[in-house]
Amino acid sequence: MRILVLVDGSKWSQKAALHAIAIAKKKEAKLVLFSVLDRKEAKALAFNMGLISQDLAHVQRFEEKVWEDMKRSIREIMTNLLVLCRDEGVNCSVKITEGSAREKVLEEANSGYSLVVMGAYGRSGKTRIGSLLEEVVGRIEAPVMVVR
Amino acid sequence: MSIFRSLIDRKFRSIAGDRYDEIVKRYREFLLLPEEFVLPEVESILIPLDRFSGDFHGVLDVLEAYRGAKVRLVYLLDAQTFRLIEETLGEEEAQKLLQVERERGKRLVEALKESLEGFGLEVQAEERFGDKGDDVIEMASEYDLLVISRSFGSEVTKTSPISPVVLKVVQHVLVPVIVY
Repeated sequence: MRILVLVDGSKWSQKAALHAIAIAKKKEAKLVLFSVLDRKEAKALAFNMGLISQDLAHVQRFEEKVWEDMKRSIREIMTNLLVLCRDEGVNCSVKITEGSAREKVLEEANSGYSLVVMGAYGRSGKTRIGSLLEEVVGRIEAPVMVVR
Repeated sequence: MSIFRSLIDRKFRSIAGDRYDEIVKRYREFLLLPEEFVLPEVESILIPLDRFSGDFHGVLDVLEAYRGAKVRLVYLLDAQTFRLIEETLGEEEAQKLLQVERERGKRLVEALKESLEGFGLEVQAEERFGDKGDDVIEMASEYDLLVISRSFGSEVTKTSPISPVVLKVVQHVLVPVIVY
């Protein structure tokens, strides 16, 4: 059995990973922690930061900084989850890719997993149900677990 | 687990510094605290079913992980639909349809019950009239996990691969949901 966990760094995706680890432990399943980094997110965040702080002259520098921080942050989260998997005796691996979240998630999720686990919300918090969830949940062939 | 907890705790505390408590209070919604890094226990599961519910065999492998949990299978009949049928076609027709629905429900529930009990889950089954969306949302609050077919409530198509009832349920329930 292979379980895919979609990790975007949010609290909910980490809670999702905990559920997936619990299942993988009982089923002796292989867990894949998967994350998609979208450069457009760094660009938008940097531009809005620059606009709000009236410092658009440094927007490109902001963007590079945000992009590097996004990569570092997700690697740290993955490392922490890997440590937990190791402590729990769960066979786990990490995949981090770049591109459009929707496309990459669908491509990976429909490549032979028995379960896909994801958080209900994204990094924007509980303002609304995650847009990625609405876009992909019906298009993934395997059962999808949504965690709050 | 202890290594992991201390690692997270140390990292977050070191970033937050002496404002740790203030930050935790204000940004609680975004933070998964060290004490929340525990593997969840699922002891009770709700599985609503209806005439549209799809093939459940794909989710059985996952449910096997919850050996020992208590499962409530509820075959839901839409109260409003039956009321409308009764009003338009008469009581006799409504009863005929109800009988067919009940037979269908019984077969589906029995098949799933047998499979789940084979995995060591304790299963309780029932039939219920009500509103498929609102009733599931209300019932789910009493369980650790909700398991629902993506076609619960209505048929799905290639362009609309998940039932609107399921979307509503997923948006509103507060417990984890497995959509199969």
